[in-house]
Amino acid sequence: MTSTSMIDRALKSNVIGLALIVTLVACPLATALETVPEPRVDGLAEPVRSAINDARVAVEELEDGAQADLAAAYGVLGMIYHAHELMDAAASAYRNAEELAPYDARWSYLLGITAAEAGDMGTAERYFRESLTDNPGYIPTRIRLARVLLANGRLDAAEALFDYVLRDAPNNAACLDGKAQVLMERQQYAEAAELLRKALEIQPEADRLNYTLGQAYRALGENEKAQEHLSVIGTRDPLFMDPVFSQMRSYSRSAEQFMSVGHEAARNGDYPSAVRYFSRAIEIDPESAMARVSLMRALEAVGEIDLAEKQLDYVIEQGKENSLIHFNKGVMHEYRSEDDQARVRYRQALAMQPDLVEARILLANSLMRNGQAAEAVDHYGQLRAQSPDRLDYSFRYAMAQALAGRCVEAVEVMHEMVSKVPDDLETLNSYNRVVASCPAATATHKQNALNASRNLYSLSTAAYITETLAMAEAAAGNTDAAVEYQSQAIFSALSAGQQAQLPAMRALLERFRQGQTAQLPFDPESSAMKPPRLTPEQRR
Amino acid sequence: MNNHLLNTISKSLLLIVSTTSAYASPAFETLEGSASGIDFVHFNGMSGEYYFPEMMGGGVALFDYDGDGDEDIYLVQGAMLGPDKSAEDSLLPVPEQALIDRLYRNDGNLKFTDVTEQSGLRANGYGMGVTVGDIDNDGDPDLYLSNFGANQLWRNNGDGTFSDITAVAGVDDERWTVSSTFADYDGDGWLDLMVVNYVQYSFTNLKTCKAYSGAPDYCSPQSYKSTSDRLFRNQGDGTFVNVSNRVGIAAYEGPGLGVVARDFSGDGHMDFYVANDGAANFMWINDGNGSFTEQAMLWGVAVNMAGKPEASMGVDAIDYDHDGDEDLFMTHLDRQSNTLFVNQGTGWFVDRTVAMGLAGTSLPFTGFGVAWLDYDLDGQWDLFSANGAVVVIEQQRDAGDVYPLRQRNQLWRGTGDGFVEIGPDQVPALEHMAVSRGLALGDLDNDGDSDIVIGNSAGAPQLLINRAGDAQSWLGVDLRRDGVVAIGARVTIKDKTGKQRTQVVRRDGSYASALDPRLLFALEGMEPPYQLTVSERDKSVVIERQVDAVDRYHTIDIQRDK
Repeated sequence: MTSTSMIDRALKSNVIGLALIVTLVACPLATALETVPEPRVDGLAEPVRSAINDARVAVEELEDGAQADLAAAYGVLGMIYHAHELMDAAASAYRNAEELAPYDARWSYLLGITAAEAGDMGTAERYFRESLTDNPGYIPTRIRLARVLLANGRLDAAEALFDYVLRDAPNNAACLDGKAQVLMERQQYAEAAELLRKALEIQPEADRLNYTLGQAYRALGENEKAQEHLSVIGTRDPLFMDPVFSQMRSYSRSAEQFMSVGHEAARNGDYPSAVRYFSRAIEIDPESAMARVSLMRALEAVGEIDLAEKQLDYVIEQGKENSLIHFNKGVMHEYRSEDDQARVRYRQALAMQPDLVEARILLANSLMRNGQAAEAVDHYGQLRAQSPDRLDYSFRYAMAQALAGRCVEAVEVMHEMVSKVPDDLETLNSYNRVVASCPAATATHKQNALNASRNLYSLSTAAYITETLAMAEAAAGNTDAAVEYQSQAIFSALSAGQQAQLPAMRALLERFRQGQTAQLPFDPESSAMKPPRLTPEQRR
Repeated sequence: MNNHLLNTISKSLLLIVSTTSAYASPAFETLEGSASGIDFVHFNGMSGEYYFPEMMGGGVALFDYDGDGDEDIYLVQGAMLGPDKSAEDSLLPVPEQALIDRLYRNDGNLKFTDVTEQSGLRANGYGMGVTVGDIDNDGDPDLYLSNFGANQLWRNNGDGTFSDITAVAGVDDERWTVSSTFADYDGDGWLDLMVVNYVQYSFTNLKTCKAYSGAPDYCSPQSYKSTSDRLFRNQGDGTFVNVSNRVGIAAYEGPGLGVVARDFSGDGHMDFYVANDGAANFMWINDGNGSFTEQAMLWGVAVNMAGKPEASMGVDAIDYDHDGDEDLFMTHLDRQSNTLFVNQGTGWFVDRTVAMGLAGTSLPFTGFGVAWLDYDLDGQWDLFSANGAVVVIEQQRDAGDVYPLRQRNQLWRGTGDGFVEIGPDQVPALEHMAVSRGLALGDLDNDGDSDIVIGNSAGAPQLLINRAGDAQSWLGVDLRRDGVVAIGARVTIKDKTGKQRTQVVRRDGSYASALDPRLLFALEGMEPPYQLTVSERDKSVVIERQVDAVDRYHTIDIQRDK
């Protein structure tokens, strides 16, 4: 027996008797059925169109058959429409199913859900109550009815339903949340907080509860606790077992369709919708590594980093890791500043896919942060060889060379860059710095850098320009000028509120006072020498 | 038949008669354009490309531009939309009138005359909304027009004409603006300008969006990058300076659609509440020293009670529970209820939407323009919401509607302990299906009750004339300060038993619209004599007087009548 038919049997077991009575008493020979609308489906994937078509054909074939069979066929048609979010057609098919099999609690239950999703709470309540009459033991009906009543402000009735469930299932997080919402409406904050805490203990992933709990603490004057919970912007509600709903979802035939609309939503920046669609795709095809990676990216975009990583872990546990899985796992480590583990993953990704540029960049950046400049030179060098027009790769390559003690090579790379973009003052300024911090640079480069630094200074006295001139003067042996310009640079930085740069600038001033030159083109802690870690915001 | 039975029967009959009469006289009646002289038809320039801005406009303003004591009507117009698009591409008929905003003068008796030509107003941007304020303190109201494109500021010359002073004033924000508000945030006596911007949409970064079925549809704001709002400080010489960075407003980006300026913290300084579409809302608290801090999350007004950001469109704020502070109500997308945030007066609001019975009835609708009003003058605040969808309603499209976003509008009556919806069965004017956006509240016929003008996207505006208040007693206040509408000042009416009602002078709120700033007080349940008190934003009392004449407006000037 399949799980679906077991569910069917369980749901129907306590209504068979009633069904027989209804059939014997009413015995409807002709029933008023509505024509189920045919929504536009040309944009849907082929498996969905086929499933819809097959279900419609099944209905047509059973039109002259047994009423119970026709009801089931309409029910399946409704569930297929419902699973693909074609709600008007779904509701229409369910209504026919209910008309034909009024004793089957599933159809009124699903009609209640479609009405609630359309915001028609009056109709939803009517259907849920009908469903409860037919099958009083089905807990999800009580929960959904209670939520409808809560939305309509009928707090006592909603509370009674939540209490009914909690008597037998005191750890039902959805009901604890529902009851807490009732108590919040009644401004019974202490009691609400207690229930919400319990619900969060039972289902910590239901992070949406944090806001309500934060508000309860706020009302109780416990501001520290309130802040703690209000800082969690959660999106996930508590879950509850709902076999009928799951049965409906199981009719979805379109992982591809969900993937397609999910990618479109993601391209449009609508990541919450993308999360929803990719999640549906995974429900249909849980083993799809592509769906997991897509969901991971969408979750990451909405700030759900931990949940995003769980998608990767799932694929890894299944032994289906690929270069993208390793790369993204590395990114997750990087978010948490776990650079060593991140590098392991980036290397694994590159071993499987050497042209994975993003992995190489992040690996090289991580190596720079870790002081492994020589290895970084190799990776930046490969990137530069692949994309010679990318100035950012050349710049990073030069910085890695400088940090690795190969400043002469760095000077040549920067000189080449300046030749390519002679009007780019940022590049020119960087070239000046690389030369000024390279005692082995040729005299020509040194003179060029000094002249260029003086010219730039005549255009701008910003701190970083002035500091470059100080470095060039120091490299030319003009100690007094170097000290004077560096002092000016410090003053400019102070005036501009660039406090963070002052310690390094003062250290450099001290070197100049002692007649020394700069050791590196930029402050060793600067982003030029230590590329910052990737953040979720940047990746978004 | 004994007397008891007779009494019972006669009471029952009375009940039937009174119920019947209530149904026989709807609270609002639609005033047709042919009767009013308002021949405006909004044009959104849609060509089947599903351009985002085409479904967002439709602002309305009620203001007395000519100072003759009645409210005139300003209606914001659209234009053909999209690169290389011409009138031939339009899916809807192009109005015969020139595609510019329209000003209709109120001639009394609910008759209006189009005076756009003689007013000099040539607002031909792709209009979204309109804001009204007296920027030069000369006693006549000026206009700020928010556009998809550069905004405009039109100065009222006081002789029935307007001049475009946008460039000189320095307020020509190029970004997509829907709503804005004038408020004196720094207390220097000059109205400053808060401009709320939506998303970074242009024809060079178009996104193609589809419904789940694969059919083309409008994008959501999440498809585009949000942008920051701007605060312009009025320098008192006809120019404004952008202080957004200095005061902190520029630090946050959000898809803003609605805005109200009120003293939410009760410290005497104007704060701003910004309704964001699909993102947490902003509560900008004014510290009184020229800075604002964003406090929405801590104050409990960023998201709904369940912790979910909602697609906030319109917003209005009044002291609905008469406890001395300003409460918020805002409209949302369908399947998200509208939200009532009640100010606790302690830097915290409570979401009372469900408890007040406002959640369930709003779920099937997408609300835009919104206003608190006491339409039946019973002393309880009521609510009106102008509705229209933002994604295609498949049934309407399948029925051949080229603009299938139509919904009906909604009215809720306050009962004192909650709200009940008054449906189309009681007010047939609510059966009208349209893509409603702007909503402006005002007493068009000066009969002491609130009428409503609704701006419909790609359609004619709807004028709803209030009949529920006709038989009720009222008191109107036109509060001025040196001849200028005294935005932010408060008026309290107290009766002989001590019962009192307070309102703050406001022009903003709703969605892309500006309201009649005169205050209407219901006298139902109050006993004369009535004591009228005027207080400033810091709640210092400046005028106290007894008012004997009711059922009329009283013009009171804070400076001149002290």
